Amino acid sequence: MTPPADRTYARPLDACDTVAGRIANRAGQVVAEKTVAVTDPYLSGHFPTLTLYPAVFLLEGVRQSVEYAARDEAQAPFLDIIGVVSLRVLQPMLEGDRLVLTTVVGPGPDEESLRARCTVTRVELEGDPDVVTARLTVDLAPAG
Amino acid sequence: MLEDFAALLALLPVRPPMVLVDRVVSLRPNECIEVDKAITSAEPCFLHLAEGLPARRWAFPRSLLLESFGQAAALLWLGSVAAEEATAAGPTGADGSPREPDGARLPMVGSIRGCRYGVPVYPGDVVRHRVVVDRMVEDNAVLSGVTTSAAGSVLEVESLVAVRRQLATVLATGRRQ
Repeated sequence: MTPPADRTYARPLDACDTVAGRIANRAGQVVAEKTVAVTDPYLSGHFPTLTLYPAVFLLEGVRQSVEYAARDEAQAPFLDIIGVVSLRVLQPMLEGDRLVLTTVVGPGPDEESLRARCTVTRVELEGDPDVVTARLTVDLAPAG
Repeated sequence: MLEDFAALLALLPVRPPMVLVDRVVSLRPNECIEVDKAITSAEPCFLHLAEGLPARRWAFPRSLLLESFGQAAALLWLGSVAAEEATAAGPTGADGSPREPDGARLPMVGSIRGCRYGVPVYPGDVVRHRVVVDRMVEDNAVLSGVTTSAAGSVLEVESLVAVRRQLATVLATGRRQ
């Protein structure tokens, strides 16, 4: 699924090119893809001599993909990040890299919140194993 | 040191529109820093939003708040290193030429742990990051801190580990050559 084009909250960029999966009753799995592109907002300045995908944009990828996957619910919420339990960058993510964000969602620490555990992999050439570039755990909650 | 925006830019490797810090309020090398960032509706994150949205949808993205905090942390780390190098050898290199900042090693986030967000911030708000050094060893730094606005606590960061890597290393890491 291609995420809808409407922008209903401020965001640094569209952090998912495609999203698949569904969140229901505060649980589910979401798989999103994002190709790093210098034409995306902010990336021309990070950095001028080398396009390096900011680690914080992975938080946006989790937030946006989980929100898209939860939109089918009768009262699909506007989700915001309420906490970053952990974020670990294992490999740099450069211009042209095709990233896959695989997120498992479960109940979060507060009522109505979600805890999203995401593994980010970089798709390699055919025959080569994909490389894990980051792992992150993010708490999200409806924000009105 | 870091008395104006040009000095701030001379230390950081990012450039607009990714410069998310505006003013160094105070700096104690190897200890702590206070940095302000003003939120403005002209930023790219506020472009092309749908009409008629409630106010809460105009909150400055929390991912960018964390990036802004990280840049304040980078100013503390790099400012501390620059202060030490200037003290050790003066403002010039061995041949008498002006000492240049180390642009060949990129500061990057290695890991973040224990962030909790508080009140949202909006265009017109000014946030202040207060970052402290927990440990600095060669090309790694461990920092922590808080971000506040006039409305209260905005962000708490338990631990941010920053690393510096040579550009060539960044390009080659984990890739088939």
